[in-house]
Amino acid sequence: MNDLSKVFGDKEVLKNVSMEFSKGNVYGIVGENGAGKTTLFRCIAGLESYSGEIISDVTPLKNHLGLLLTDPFFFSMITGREYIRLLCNARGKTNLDIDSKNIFGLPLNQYASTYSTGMKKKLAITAILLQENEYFILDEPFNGIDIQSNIILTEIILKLKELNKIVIISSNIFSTLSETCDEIHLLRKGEQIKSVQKSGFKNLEQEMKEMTIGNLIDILELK
Amino acid sequence: MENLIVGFPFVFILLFKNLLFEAGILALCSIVFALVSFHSHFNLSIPTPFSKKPFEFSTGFRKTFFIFPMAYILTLIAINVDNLNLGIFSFLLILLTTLGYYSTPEQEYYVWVHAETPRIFLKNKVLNASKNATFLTAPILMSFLTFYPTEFALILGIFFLGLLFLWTIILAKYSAYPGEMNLPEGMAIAFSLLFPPLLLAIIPFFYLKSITKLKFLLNDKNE
Repeated sequence: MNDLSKVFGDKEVLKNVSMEFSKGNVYGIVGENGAGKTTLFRCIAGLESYSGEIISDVTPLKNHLGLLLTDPFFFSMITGREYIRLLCNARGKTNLDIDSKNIFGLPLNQYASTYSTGMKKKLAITAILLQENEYFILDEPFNGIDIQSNIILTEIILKLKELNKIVIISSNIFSTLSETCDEIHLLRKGEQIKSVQKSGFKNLEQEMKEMTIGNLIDILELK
Repeated sequence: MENLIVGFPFVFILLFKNLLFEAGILALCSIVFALVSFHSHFNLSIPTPFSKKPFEFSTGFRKTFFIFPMAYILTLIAINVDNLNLGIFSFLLILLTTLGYYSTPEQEYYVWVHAETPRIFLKNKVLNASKNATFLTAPILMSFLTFYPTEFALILGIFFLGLLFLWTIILAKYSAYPGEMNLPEGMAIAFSLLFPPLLLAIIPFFYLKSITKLKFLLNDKNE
Protein backbone atom coordinates (compact mmCIF):
# COMPACT_ATOMS: atom_id res chain seq x y z
CA MET A 1 0.00 0.00 0.00
CA ASN A 2 1.69 3.21 -1.16
CA ASP A 3 0.76 6.79 -0.31
CA LEU A 4 -2.86 6.02 0.46
CA SER A 5 -4.91 9.14 1.05
CA LYS A 6 -8.60 9.68 1.52
CA VAL A 7 -10.53 12.91 1.62
CA PHE A 8 -14.14 13.42 2.75
CA GLY A 9 -15.17 16.88 1.58
CA ASP A 10 -12.37 19.15 2.75
CA LYS A 11 -11.29 16.78 5.53
CA GLU A 12 -8.28 14.58 4.89
CA VAL A 13 -9.02 11.36 6.77
CA LEU A 14 -5.93 9.42 5.62
CA LYS A 15 -2.65 11.11 4.76
CA ASN A 16 -0.12 9.26 2.61
CA VAL A 17 -0.29 5.99 4.51
CA SER A 18 2.17 3.33 3.28
CA MET A 19 2.29 -0.17 4.70
CA GLU A 20 3.45 -3.59 3.56
CA PHE A 21 1.76 -6.80 4.61
CA SER A 22 3.44 -10.18 4.16
CA LYS A 23 1.93 -13.66 4.15
CA GLY A 24 1.88 -15.50 7.46
CA ASN A 25 1.84 -12.32 9.50
CA VAL A 26 -0.70 -10.60 11.71
CA TYR A 27 -0.83 -6.81 11.76
CA GLY A 28 -2.43 -4.51 14.27
CA ILE A 29 -3.73 -1.04 13.53
CA VAL A 30 -4.17 1.14 16.59
CA GLY A 31 -5.26 4.69 17.10
CA GLU A 32 -7.85 6.81 18.88
CA ASN A 33 -11.42 7.00 17.66
CA GLY A 34 -11.39 8.95 14.41
CA ALA A 35 -7.75 8.13 13.67
CA GLY A 36 -8.80 6.61 10.34
CA LYS A 37 -8.63 2.87 11.09
CA THR A 38 -12.05 1.97 9.69
CA THR A 39 -11.58 4.24 6.66
CA LEU A 40 -8.23 2.54 6.00
CA PHE A 41 -9.93 -0.86 6.13
CA ARG A 42 -12.72 0.28 3.83
CA CYS A 43 -10.16 1.59 1.33
CA ILE A 44 -8.20 -1.68 1.36
CA ALA A 45 -11.47 -3.60 0.89
CA GLY A 46 -12.52 -1.40 -2.02
CA LEU A 47 -15.57 0.02 -0.28
CA GLU A 48 -14.16 3.56 -0.55
CA SER A 49 -12.37 5.34 -3.36
CA TYR A 50 -8.89 6.67 -2.53
CA SER A 51 -5.76 8.11 -4.02
CA GLY A 52 -2.59 6.09 -3.86
CA GLU A 53 -1.91 2.48 -4.67
CA ILE A 54 -2.84 -0.91 -3.26
CA ILE A 55 -1.19 -3.93 -4.86
CA SER A 56 -1.89 -7.55 -3.93
CA ASP A 57 -0.68 -10.99 -5.02
CA VAL A 58 -4.17 -12.14 -5.94
CA THR A 59 -6.57 -9.85 -7.73
CA PRO A 60 -9.08 -8.49 -7.27
CA LEU A 61 -8.11 -8.36 -3.62
CA LYS A 62 -11.72 -7.99 -2.45
CA ASN A 63 -12.66 -11.42 -3.80
CA HIS A 64 -10.17 -13.05 -1.42
CA LEU A 65 -10.79 -10.81 1.56
CA GLY A 66 -12.79 -11.66 4.65
CA LEU A 67 -14.03 -8.39 6.07
CA LEU A 68 -15.42 -8.16 9.57
CA LEU A 69 -17.08 -4.80 10.11
CA THR A 70 -17.14 -3.21 13.56
CA ASP A 71 -20.90 -3.44 13.67
CA PRO A 72 -22.08 -6.11 11.21
CA PHE A 73 -25.51 -5.46 9.70
CA PHE A 74 -28.11 -8.21 9.39
CA PHE A 75 -31.42 -8.13 7.50
CA SER A 76 -34.57 -8.86 9.36
CA MET A 77 -35.83 -12.43 8.98
CA ILE A 78 -32.55 -14.00 7.88
CA THR A 79 -31.39 -16.87 10.06
CA GLY A 80 -27.81 -17.37 11.20
CA ARG A 81 -27.49 -20.37 8.89
CA GLU A 82 -28.81 -18.41 5.91
CA TYR A 83 -26.42 -15.52 6.63
CA ILE A 84 -23.45 -17.89 6.53
CA ARG A 85 -24.83 -19.50 3.37
CA LEU A 86 -25.35 -16.10 1.73
CA LEU A 87 -21.78 -14.99 2.40
CA CYS A 88 -20.31 -18.34 1.31
CA ASN A 89 -22.48 -18.54 -1.84
CA ALA A 90 -21.22 -15.05 -2.71
CA ARG A 91 -17.70 -16.51 -2.85
CA GLY A 92 -18.75 -19.63 -4.72
CA LYS A 93 -18.53 -21.88 -1.65
CA THR A 94 -21.52 -24.19 -1.63
CA ASN A 95 -22.46 -27.50 0.04
CA LEU A 96 -20.89 -26.53 3.33
CA ASP A 97 -21.51 -28.52 6.48
CA ILE A 98 -22.31 -25.44 8.53
CA ASP A 99 -23.46 -27.30 11.65
CA SER A 100 -20.18 -29.11 12.20
CA LYS A 101 -18.29 -25.81 11.86
CA ASN A 102 -20.48 -23.87 14.27
CA ILE A 103 -17.67 -23.61 16.84
CA PHE A 104 -19.28 -20.76 18.78
CA GLY A 105 -22.44 -22.81 19.32
CA LEU A 106 -24.72 -20.23 17.71
CA PRO A 107 -28.48 -20.89 17.37
CA LEU A 108 -28.30 -21.01 13.58
CA ASN A 109 -32.03 -21.49 13.00
CA GLN A 110 -32.85 -18.29 14.83
CA TYR A 111 -33.10 -14.91 13.08
CA ALA A 112 -29.70 -13.18 13.20
CA SER A 113 -31.37 -9.87 14.05
CA THR A 114 -32.46 -11.35 17.38
CA TYR A 115 -28.85 -12.23 18.34
CA SER A 116 -26.98 -10.28 21.00
CA THR A 117 -24.10 -7.99 19.89
CA GLY A 118 -21.53 -10.66 20.74
CA MET A 119 -23.46 -13.40 18.93
CA LYS A 120 -23.77 -11.21 15.84
CA LYS A 121 -20.02 -10.70 15.82
CA LYS A 122 -19.38 -14.43 16.25
CA LEU A 123 -21.77 -15.17 13.37
CA ALA A 124 -20.00 -12.68 11.10
CA ILE A 125 -16.60 -14.15 12.07
CA THR A 126 -17.81 -17.71 11.36
CA ALA A 127 -19.11 -16.65 7.95
CA ILE A 128 -15.86 -14.99 6.79
CA LEU A 129 -13.84 -17.95 8.07
CA LEU A 130 -15.97 -20.39 6.07
CA GLN A 131 -15.43 -18.26 2.95
CA GLU A 132 -11.83 -19.57 2.96
CA ASN A 133 -10.20 -16.21 2.32
CA GLU A 134 -6.53 -15.40 1.82
CA TYR A 135 -6.70 -12.04 3.58
CA PHE A 136 -8.63 -10.99 6.65
CA ILE A 137 -9.49 -7.56 8.00
CA LEU A 138 -11.02 -7.71 11.44
CA ASP A 139 -12.28 -4.36 12.70
CA GLU A 140 -12.65 -4.60 16.48
CA PRO A 141 -13.15 -8.38 16.50
CA PHE A 142 -12.85 -8.70 20.28
CA ASN A 143 -15.46 -6.06 21.10
CA GLY A 144 -18.62 -7.40 22.69
CA ILE A 145 -17.71 -11.09 22.71
CA ASP A 146 -17.38 -13.12 25.89
CA ILE A 147 -14.07 -14.20 27.40
CA GLN A 148 -14.33 -17.81 26.15
CA SER A 149 -14.92 -16.61 22.58
CA ASN A 150 -12.02 -14.15 22.98
CA ILE A 151 -9.76 -17.09 23.72
CA ILE A 152 -11.12 -19.02 20.73
CA LEU A 153 -10.73 -15.99 18.46
CA THR A 154 -7.12 -15.47 19.54
CA GLU A 155 -6.38 -19.09 18.65
CA ILE A 156 -8.17 -18.71 15.30
CA ILE A 157 -5.99 -15.71 14.43
CA LEU A 158 -2.84 -17.65 15.33
CA LYS A 159 -4.06 -20.56 13.20
CA LEU A 160 -4.65 -18.21 10.23
CA LYS A 161 -1.09 -16.98 10.65
CA GLU A 162 0.12 -20.59 10.62
CA LEU A 163 -1.87 -21.13 7.41
CA ASN A 164 0.12 -18.32 5.78
CA LYS A 165 -2.77 -15.87 5.60
CA ILE A 166 -2.53 -12.12 6.11
CA VAL A 167 -4.58 -10.82 9.02
CA ILE A 168 -5.07 -7.14 9.84
CA ILE A 169 -6.78 -6.31 13.12
CA SER A 170 -7.83 -3.19 14.91
CA SER A 171 -8.54 -3.39 18.59
CA ASN A 172 -8.89 -1.10 21.55
CA ILE A 173 -7.56 -3.79 23.85
CA PHE A 174 -3.76 -3.73 23.57
CA SER A 175 -3.24 -7.17 25.13
CA THR A 176 -5.24 -8.87 22.36
CA LEU A 177 -2.95 -7.27 19.78
CA SER A 178 0.32 -7.95 21.58
CA GLU A 179 -0.70 -11.60 21.84
CA THR A 180 -1.42 -12.06 18.14
CA CYS A 181 0.36 -9.40 16.08
CA ASP A 182 3.79 -9.39 14.46
CA GLU A 183 3.69 -5.67 13.77
CA ILE A 184 1.54 -2.79 14.96
CA HIS A 185 0.94 0.43 13.05
CA LEU A 186 -0.07 3.49 15.00
CA LEU A 187 -2.38 5.99 13.32
CA ARG A 188 -3.18 9.47 14.57
CA LYS A 189 -5.55 11.85 12.79
CA GLY A 190 -5.08 9.93 9.56
CA GLU A 191 -1.29 9.92 9.73
CA GLN A 192 0.89 6.89 10.18
CA ILE A 193 2.86 7.81 13.28
CA LYS A 194 4.97 4.70 13.67
CA SER A 195 5.25 0.98 12.97
CA VAL A 196 6.51 -1.27 15.73
CA GLN A 197 7.78 -4.86 15.57
CA LYS A 198 6.88 -7.41 18.26
CA SER A 199 10.01 -6.65 20.31
CA GLY A 200 8.88 -3.03 20.71
CA PHE A 201 5.27 -3.70 21.80
CA LYS A 202 6.00 -3.14 25.51
CA ASN A 203 7.52 0.26 24.84
CA LEU A 204 4.67 1.16 22.49
CA GLU A 205 2.09 0.28 25.14
CA GLN A 206 3.94 2.35 27.72
CA GLU A 207 4.26 5.24 25.28
CA MET A 208 0.56 5.10 24.43
CA LYS A 209 -0.31 5.00 28.12
CA GLU A 210 1.76 8.08 28.89
CA MET A 211 0.48 9.91 25.84
CA THR A 212 -3.17 9.10 26.53
CA ILE A 213 -3.31 9.35 30.30
CA GLY A 214 -0.79 12.13 31.03
CA ASN A 215 -2.15 13.80 34.16
CA LEU A 216 -5.82 13.17 33.32
CA ILE A 217 -6.39 10.97 36.37
CA ASP A 218 -4.86 13.57 38.71
CA ILE A 219 -7.30 16.14 37.35
CA LEU A 220 -10.16 14.04 38.72
CA GLU A 221 -8.73 14.39 42.27
CA LEU A 222 -10.28 11.05 43.20
CA LYS A 223 -10.81 10.64 46.97
CA MET B 1 -57.45 4.28 11.52
CA GLU B 2 -55.33 3.56 8.41
CA ASN B 3 -56.71 0.03 8.24
CA LEU B 4 -60.28 1.35 8.53
CA ILE B 5 -59.67 3.90 5.75
CA VAL B 6 -58.30 1.21 3.44
CA GLY B 7 -61.13 -1.19 4.32
CA PHE B 8 -63.90 1.39 4.09
CA PRO B 9 -64.61 1.18 0.32
CA PHE B 10 -64.98 -2.59 0.58
CA VAL B 11 -67.19 -2.33 3.66
CA PHE B 12 -69.27 0.24 1.80
CA ILE B 13 -69.74 -2.07 -1.21
CA LEU B 14 -70.71 -4.97 1.08
CA LEU B 15 -73.23 -2.74 2.87
CA PHE B 16 -74.55 -1.56 -0.48
CA LYS B 17 -75.03 -5.21 -1.47
CA ASN B 18 -76.86 -5.80 1.84
CA LEU B 19 -74.17 -8.18 3.08
CA LEU B 20 -74.27 -6.84 6.65
CA PHE B 21 -72.56 -9.82 8.28
CA GLU B 22 -69.58 -9.77 5.86
CA ALA B 23 -69.27 -5.98 6.19
CA GLY B 24 -69.18 -6.34 9.99
CA ILE B 25 -66.49 -9.05 9.80
CA LEU B 26 -64.35 -6.91 7.47
CA ALA B 27 -64.62 -3.82 9.68
CA LEU B 28 -63.78 -5.92 12.74
CA CYS B 29 -60.78 -7.48 11.00
CA SER B 30 -59.51 -4.00 10.04
CA ILE B 31 -59.43 -3.06 13.70
CA VAL B 32 -58.15 -6.37 15.08
CA PHE B 33 -55.27 -6.69 12.59
CA ALA B 34 -54.09 -3.19 13.48
CA LEU B 35 -53.68 -4.34 17.08
CA VAL B 36 -51.92 -7.60 16.30
CA SER B 37 -48.16 -7.54 15.77
CA PHE B 38 -46.91 -10.04 13.22
CA HIS B 39 -43.34 -9.60 14.34
CA SER B 40 -42.26 -12.76 16.07
CA HIS B 41 -41.03 -12.43 19.62
CA PHE B 42 -40.21 -16.12 19.71
CA ASN B 43 -36.93 -17.67 18.76
CA LEU B 44 -38.60 -19.47 15.87
CA SER B 45 -38.19 -18.79 12.21
CA ILE B 46 -40.78 -19.28 9.49
CA PRO B 47 -39.67 -22.08 7.15
CA THR B 48 -38.92 -20.97 3.62
CA PRO B 49 -38.31 -22.96 0.44
CA PHE B 50 -35.60 -20.44 -0.53
CA SER B 51 -33.16 -21.15 2.27
CA LYS B 52 -30.49 -22.67 -0.03
CA LYS B 53 -29.89 -19.39 -1.85
CA PRO B 54 -31.01 -16.93 0.77
CA PHE B 55 -31.68 -13.25 0.54
CA GLU B 56 -34.54 -11.47 -1.24
CA PHE B 57 -36.88 -14.44 -1.64
CA SER B 58 -36.13 -16.10 1.71
CA THR B 59 -36.70 -12.92 3.74
CA GLY B 60 -39.48 -11.68 1.44
CA PHE B 61 -41.32 -15.00 1.64
CA ARG B 62 -41.31 -14.83 5.44
CA LYS B 63 -42.73 -11.32 5.40
CA THR B 64 -45.52 -12.18 2.96
CA PHE B 65 -46.08 -15.91 3.53
CA PHE B 66 -49.82 -15.45 4.13
CA ILE B 67 -50.30 -14.13 0.57
CA PHE B 68 -49.50 -17.49 -1.04
CA PRO B 69 -52.19 -19.72 0.52
CA MET B 70 -54.64 -16.88 -0.15
CA ALA B 71 -53.65 -16.78 -3.83
CA TYR B 72 -53.84 -20.57 -4.16
CA ILE B 73 -57.29 -20.67 -2.53
CA LEU B 74 -58.44 -17.87 -4.87
CA THR B 75 -57.25 -19.96 -7.80
CA LEU B 76 -59.30 -22.93 -6.58
CA ILE B 77 -62.35 -20.67 -6.22
CA ALA B 78 -61.70 -19.23 -9.70
CA ILE B 79 -61.63 -22.71 -11.23
CA ASN B 80 -64.69 -23.73 -9.21
CA VAL B 81 -66.79 -20.77 -10.38
CA ASP B 82 -65.16 -20.85 -13.83
CA ASN B 83 -63.82 -17.30 -13.58
CA LEU B 84 -60.48 -17.06 -15.37
CA ASN B 85 -60.12 -13.35 -14.53
CA LEU B 86 -60.18 -14.11 -10.82
CA GLY B 87 -57.54 -16.77 -11.41
CA ILE B 88 -55.37 -14.31 -13.32
CA PHE B 89 -55.75 -11.88 -10.42
CA SER B 90 -54.39 -14.48 -7.95
CA PHE B 91 -51.53 -15.17 -10.35
CA LEU B 92 -50.71 -11.45 -10.58
CA LEU B 93 -50.99 -11.15 -6.81
CA ILE B 94 -48.03 -13.52 -6.41
CA LEU B 95 -45.98 -11.80 -9.10
CA LEU B 96 -46.65 -8.36 -7.60
CA THR B 97 -45.67 -9.67 -4.16
CA THR B 98 -42.32 -10.92 -5.48
CA LEU B 99 -41.65 -7.56 -7.17
CA GLY B 100 -41.79 -6.01 -3.70
CA TYR B 101 -38.82 -8.13 -2.58
CA TYR B 102 -36.55 -5.97 -4.72
CA SER B 103 -37.88 -2.54 -3.82
CA THR B 104 -35.17 -1.45 -1.34
CA PRO B 105 -31.40 -1.48 -1.87
CA GLU B 106 -29.33 -3.71 0.38
CA GLN B 107 -26.37 -2.43 2.40
CA GLU B 108 -23.26 -2.15 0.20
CA TYR B 109 -21.46 -4.97 2.06
CA TYR B 110 -23.96 -7.46 0.60
CA VAL B 111 -23.06 -6.43 -2.93
CA TRP B 112 -19.33 -6.01 -2.26
CA VAL B 113 -19.06 -9.53 -0.79
CA HIS B 114 -19.82 -11.16 -4.18
CA ALA B 115 -16.78 -12.40 -6.06
CA GLU B 116 -18.51 -11.72 -9.36
CA THR B 117 -18.38 -9.21 -12.18
CA PRO B 118 -21.43 -6.92 -12.46
CA ARG B 119 -22.66 -8.96 -15.45
CA ILE B 120 -22.51 -12.26 -13.57
CA PHE B 121 -23.94 -10.65 -10.43
CA LEU B 122 -26.98 -9.34 -12.35
CA LYS B 123 -27.37 -12.56 -14.32
CA ASN B 124 -27.47 -14.59 -11.09
CA LYS B 125 -29.95 -12.17 -9.49
CA VAL B 126 -32.28 -12.35 -12.49
CA LEU B 127 -32.01 -16.14 -12.88
CA ASN B 128 -32.56 -16.80 -9.20
CA ALA B 129 -35.58 -14.47 -9.09
CA SER B 130 -37.07 -16.06 -12.22
CA LYS B 131 -36.60 -19.56 -10.82
CA ASN B 132 -38.15 -18.66 -7.47
CA ALA B 133 -41.07 -16.75 -8.99
CA THR B 134 -41.76 -19.70 -11.31
CA PHE B 135 -41.73 -22.02 -8.29
CA LEU B 136 -44.28 -19.86 -6.45
CA THR B 137 -46.59 -19.43 -9.43
CA ALA B 138 -46.24 -23.02 -10.70
CA PRO B 139 -49.32 -24.41 -8.85
CA ILE B 140 -51.51 -21.69 -10.40
CA LEU B 141 -49.90 -22.04 -13.82
CA MET B 142 -50.35 -25.82 -13.85
CA SER B 143 -53.99 -25.56 -12.73
CA PHE B 144 -54.71 -23.05 -15.49
CA LEU B 145 -53.06 -25.16 -18.15
CA THR B 146 -55.10 -28.15 -16.96
CA PHE B 147 -58.48 -26.42 -16.68
CA TYR B 148 -58.12 -23.77 -19.39
CA PRO B 149 -56.00 -25.42 -22.09
CA THR B 150 -57.55 -23.18 -24.77
CA GLU B 151 -56.18 -20.11 -22.97
CA PHE B 152 -52.66 -21.57 -23.01
CA ALA B 153 -51.10 -18.70 -24.99
CA LEU B 154 -52.72 -15.97 -22.87
CA ILE B 155 -51.64 -17.59 -19.59
CA LEU B 156 -48.05 -18.12 -20.70
CA GLY B 157 -47.98 -14.59 -22.11
CA ILE B 158 -48.99 -13.13 -18.75
CA PHE B 159 -46.43 -15.32 -17.02
CA PHE B 160 -43.54 -14.18 -19.24
CA LEU B 161 -44.66 -10.57 -19.01
CA GLY B 162 -44.63 -10.94 -15.22
CA LEU B 163 -41.06 -12.27 -15.38
CA LEU B 164 -40.04 -9.33 -17.59
CA PHE B 165 -41.38 -6.93 -14.97
CA LEU B 166 -39.47 -8.82 -12.28
CA TRP B 167 -36.25 -8.39 -14.27
CA THR B 168 -37.08 -4.71 -14.79
CA ILE B 169 -37.51 -4.11 -11.05
CA ILE B 170 -34.22 -5.89 -10.24
CA LEU B 171 -32.32 -3.91 -12.87
CA ALA B 172 -34.06 -0.65 -11.88
CA LYS B 173 -32.96 -1.26 -8.28
CA TYR B 174 -29.30 -1.64 -9.21
CA SER B 175 -29.44 1.16 -11.76
CA ALA B 176 -30.12 3.53 -8.86
CA TYR B 177 -27.79 1.72 -6.42
CA PRO B 178 -26.74 2.51 -3.72
CA GLY B 179 -29.62 4.96 -3.66
CA GLU B 180 -33.27 3.98 -3.70
CA MET B 181 -35.33 3.77 -6.86
CA ASN B 182 -36.65 7.23 -7.55
CA LEU B 183 -39.00 9.15 -9.83
CA PRO B 184 -37.22 8.39 -13.17
CA GLU B 185 -37.16 4.63 -12.48
CA GLY B 186 -40.74 4.73 -11.16
CA MET B 187 -41.97 6.61 -14.22
CA ALA B 188 -40.20 4.25 -16.61
CA ILE B 189 -41.84 1.28 -14.87
CA ALA B 190 -45.24 3.00 -14.83
CA PHE B 191 -45.06 3.77 -18.57
CA SER B 192 -44.06 0.19 -19.33
CA LEU B 193 -47.06 -1.03 -17.34
CA LEU B 194 -49.27 1.05 -19.63
CA PHE B 195 -47.36 0.01 -22.74
CA PRO B 196 -45.40 -3.25 -22.12
CA PRO B 197 -43.38 -3.16 -25.41
CA LEU B 198 -41.45 -0.31 -23.76
CA LEU B 199 -39.77 -3.00 -21.65
CA LEU B 200 -37.67 -3.91 -24.67
CA ALA B 201 -35.96 -0.54 -24.38
CA ILE B 202 -36.15 -0.09 -20.60
CA ILE B 203 -34.58 -3.43 -19.67
CA PRO B 204 -31.34 -2.86 -21.66
CA PHE B 205 -31.21 0.73 -20.41
CA PHE B 206 -31.47 -0.31 -16.74
CA TYR B 207 -29.05 -3.15 -17.37
CA LEU B 208 -26.29 -0.90 -18.72
CA LYS B 209 -26.88 1.65 -15.97
CA SER B 210 -26.69 -1.12 -13.32
CA ILE B 211 -23.38 -2.35 -14.74
CA THR B 212 -21.94 1.16 -14.38
CA LYS B 213 -23.27 1.53 -10.84
CA LEU B 214 -21.94 -1.85 -9.68
CA LYS B 215 -18.52 -1.54 -11.30
CA PHE B 216 -16.88 0.17 -8.33
CA LEU B 217 -18.20 -2.08 -5.55
CA LEU B 218 -17.51 -5.27 -7.47
CA ASN B 219 -14.07 -3.92 -8.45
CA ASP B 220 -14.49 -4.66 -12.11
CA LYS B 221 -11.99 -2.79 -14.21
CA ASN B 222 -12.80 -4.60 -17.43
CA GLU B 223 -16.50 -3.86 -17.89
